Amino acid sequence: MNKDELVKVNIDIMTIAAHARKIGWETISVSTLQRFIYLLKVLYSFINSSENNLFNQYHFNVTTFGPYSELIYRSVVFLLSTRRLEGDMDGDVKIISKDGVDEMDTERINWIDSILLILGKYGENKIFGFIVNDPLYDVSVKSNLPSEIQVTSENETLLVLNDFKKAFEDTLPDTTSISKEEYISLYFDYIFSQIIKG
Amino acid sequence: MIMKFTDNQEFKALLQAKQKDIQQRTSDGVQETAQFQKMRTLLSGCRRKYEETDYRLVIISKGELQSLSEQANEFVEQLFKEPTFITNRTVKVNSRLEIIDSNNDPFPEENNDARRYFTLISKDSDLICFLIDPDSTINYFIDGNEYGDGIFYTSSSRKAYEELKTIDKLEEVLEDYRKTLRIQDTYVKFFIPKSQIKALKTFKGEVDISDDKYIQNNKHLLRNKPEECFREDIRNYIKRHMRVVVYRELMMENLDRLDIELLDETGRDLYFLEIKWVGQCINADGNDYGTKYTTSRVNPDAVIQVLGYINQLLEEDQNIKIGYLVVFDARKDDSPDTGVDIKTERIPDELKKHLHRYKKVDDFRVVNINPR
Repeated sequence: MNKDELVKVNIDIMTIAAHARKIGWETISVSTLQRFIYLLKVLYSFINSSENNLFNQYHFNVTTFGPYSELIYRSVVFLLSTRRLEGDMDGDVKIISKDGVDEMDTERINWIDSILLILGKYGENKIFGFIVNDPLYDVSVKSNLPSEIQVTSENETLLVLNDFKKAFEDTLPDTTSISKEEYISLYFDYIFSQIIKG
Repeated sequence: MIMKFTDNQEFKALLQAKQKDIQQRTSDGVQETAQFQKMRTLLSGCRRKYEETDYRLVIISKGELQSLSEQANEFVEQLFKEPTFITNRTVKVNSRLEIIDSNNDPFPEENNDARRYFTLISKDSDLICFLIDPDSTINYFIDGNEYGDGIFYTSSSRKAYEELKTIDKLEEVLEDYRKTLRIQDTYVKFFIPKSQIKALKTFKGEVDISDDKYIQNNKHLLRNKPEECFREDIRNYIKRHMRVVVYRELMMENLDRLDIELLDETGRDLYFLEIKWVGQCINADGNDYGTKYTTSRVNPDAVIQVLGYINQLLEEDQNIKIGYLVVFDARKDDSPDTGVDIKTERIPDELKKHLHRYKKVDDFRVVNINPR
């Protein structure tokens, strides 16, 4: 990992923490940051199916507690030590600086906002439920291999989302008003219905 | 298993049933906007933070919502602490979430009347109404249409989910589970059926004993490899009654597998259950007695196994709280609990330090009271 890479991750984390605050998440757990950035990356493959994923610099491994990226961990440690973030006893962090916030292109900011708003409806506590129900994560857990989660252009989450979209197109007379972000939102709505059904 | 929606007729039927809701949600010019989603999230989040036993109706015009303040996260906190908000059932707010009108008129008592009342407000005055439930779920009304918490689930199903027990209530849930083991539909799953006991009698050439007596003498025989059956039964019960994430046979770094691993819904605290059984099962071919396990399997072998898992999880930096040893007792006769007098002298010293994270659940006694 070079310095530029770490700077970009620092900017992502500062921006996410700042925008999460806008939807009422005053603090955010470090695990949520890991899980949220994982979802940013995986779901982005649905919006832009090319190999050029905006979040390609993140590499995640499977743990019992969700996806884990060393890069994110190191960045949080750095931001805590330089007093951009403040930590509490529960492992949650709070943004206490504006350094780096929104210092990225609009597409990246908009994507962070879109996913935050989709997940915000359910609250931070529910994100882990979405992670364990994520098809790519699920396949990676079941393989019981310590290797990296492969977010390829044909990953399992993407296949499921495309199938979900196609079911709408096959069934409803007109789906032109449904944007890809809206499909993701509807997909989470459906997954949540399955979680609460037990 | 990967979900398949295109082949799922039930899902497609659901889509057809929800067609109108989906169409409105994606094209009414309100629900798909960031401002609307932000407002809904903020109201729901604040209700979770500032608890209340009463409903609140928050009304905002479409224009004000469209220009919702960038600082809405700060203003919503002020709104919920505002005396006018606390003492009035209905408040109308502007884009800075300042109260511009309020009243404390009671909502219609009958559910349908109340819904009609909120619907009419949204229709007649071109207003958006957010009805905040004490449990923080939100129903909203736009252009004379009512919307629940989601398209694919109802507010009541979300409420029922929120009322499920959290992981700190695991021991209560296990005690509730114990009661189900006396129900015939539950316990018959573990034991071989009467027809199989009769077949065993034939295989064993026991001609001098009546069928009924042979059944009575052997009704305690478990199915072959019963551990899977016990594990699935308790796992499904926990899944249905708790707000937790349940993994089955997850592998640790040393390649050992935990029978049932539980995480609280936020994915922070880890618990596990190690499942054992004592008693006797039938063999794989069904023509003879099979494996018989006694107390020695549990005490101290299983105790050492659980302590070893705790040790391993701690070495892996996992946030393990408690490891439970759960024993299904299907022994023919009533016997003392398998956890009585743990033989601590046989527990390695390096594992004894984890005894405070180990708990033995009182045996789950399973008796084939009325075989089928």
